[in-house]
Amino acid sequence: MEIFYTKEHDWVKVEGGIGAVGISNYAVKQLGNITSVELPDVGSEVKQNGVLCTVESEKAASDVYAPLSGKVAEVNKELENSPGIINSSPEGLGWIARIEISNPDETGNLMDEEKYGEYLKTLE
Amino acid sequence: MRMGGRWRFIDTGSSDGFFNMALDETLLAGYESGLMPPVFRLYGWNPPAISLGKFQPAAGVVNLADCRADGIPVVKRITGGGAIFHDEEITYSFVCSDRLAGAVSVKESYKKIGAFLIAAYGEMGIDVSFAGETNDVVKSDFCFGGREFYDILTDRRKIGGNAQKRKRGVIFQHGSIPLRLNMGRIKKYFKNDITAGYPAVSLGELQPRLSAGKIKKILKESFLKSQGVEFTESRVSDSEMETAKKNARIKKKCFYTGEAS
Repeated sequence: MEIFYTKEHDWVKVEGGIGAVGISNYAVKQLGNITSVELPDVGSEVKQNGVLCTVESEKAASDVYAPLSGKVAEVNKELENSPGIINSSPEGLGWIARIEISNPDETGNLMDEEKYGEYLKTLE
Repeated sequence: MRMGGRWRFIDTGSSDGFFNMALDETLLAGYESGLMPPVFRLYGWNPPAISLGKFQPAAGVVNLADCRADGIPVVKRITGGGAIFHDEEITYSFVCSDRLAGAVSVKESYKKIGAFLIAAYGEMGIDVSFAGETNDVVKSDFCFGGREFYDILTDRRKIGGNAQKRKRGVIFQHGSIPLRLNMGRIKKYFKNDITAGYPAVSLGELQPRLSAGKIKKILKESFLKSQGVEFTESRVSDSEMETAKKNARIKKKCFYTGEAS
């Protein structure tokens, strides 16, 4: 399984044509306590860099962007009642949606873990 | 760090809630497109309206039938937070980049940008502090009944409400500064008892002699000074007006035929 990141601090873990998507540790630190998640509709089509869903934290509604294009195959229903899972495990149990990837080549537009680490250093 | 740079300043006066929210969305879209400079807007509400946070279900928070019967529009904000009844108040909104604000994190941005409100209240002779600094953080459906870390309090009472929308490095924030609050008169529009939360206070109770015009002037000058920006007096462009009016019509239709949008 490979993990890729966007400059907007969203991640995607790719395995067998499916990409699990969420927001990074860095994003969570910037947003603070997540209080609500508006999950995307299962079956909806998303475009790379398009809005996937919105999360609310401390009176800020922040858009989450799709790292890859595809169809939303599954959403993490646990987040409806326990949005704080994103805070406790942003890059694990706090995944937001699983996408059936329509164009695997789009990973070329994303950063791998090492490049994302370098990108974060430029933001310090 | 202060924001700096040249900003548009727009005072759009009082409008209905559908248009007010539609115009805020239009200004955000214009800045996000890279075609417009950052903007600071002041506005009011006529007729009175209720705005809901993006994540609040209208039917679960307000009595929609009463609102429709009394001509009180209910509109969704693009921002988070709780419900607000907008009547006699001054509202501000602004849009800029998070880099320009010198604050990427939400908490940091509320603190840095909130400096203009702290300065404005100080200019009006009102002592204020952030709720988080006095451990007064409380959750509520009704904005003025709850308080978050960087809500502004005076004598432990909330004196206004602020909320943000974040999009790809862009911060949009709007905030309500009530001149009068009459919880008894508006409570019928809400499902939960809004008088049960923590007490709020309006500017009119603290400084009854300050006119709306004077308050607007103080807000404008405080933003300008505390953030180190320059203002260009501006107006809503024809294309912004057209887009906002079109979206306001959609919101109005949604309120009268469905819930709120």
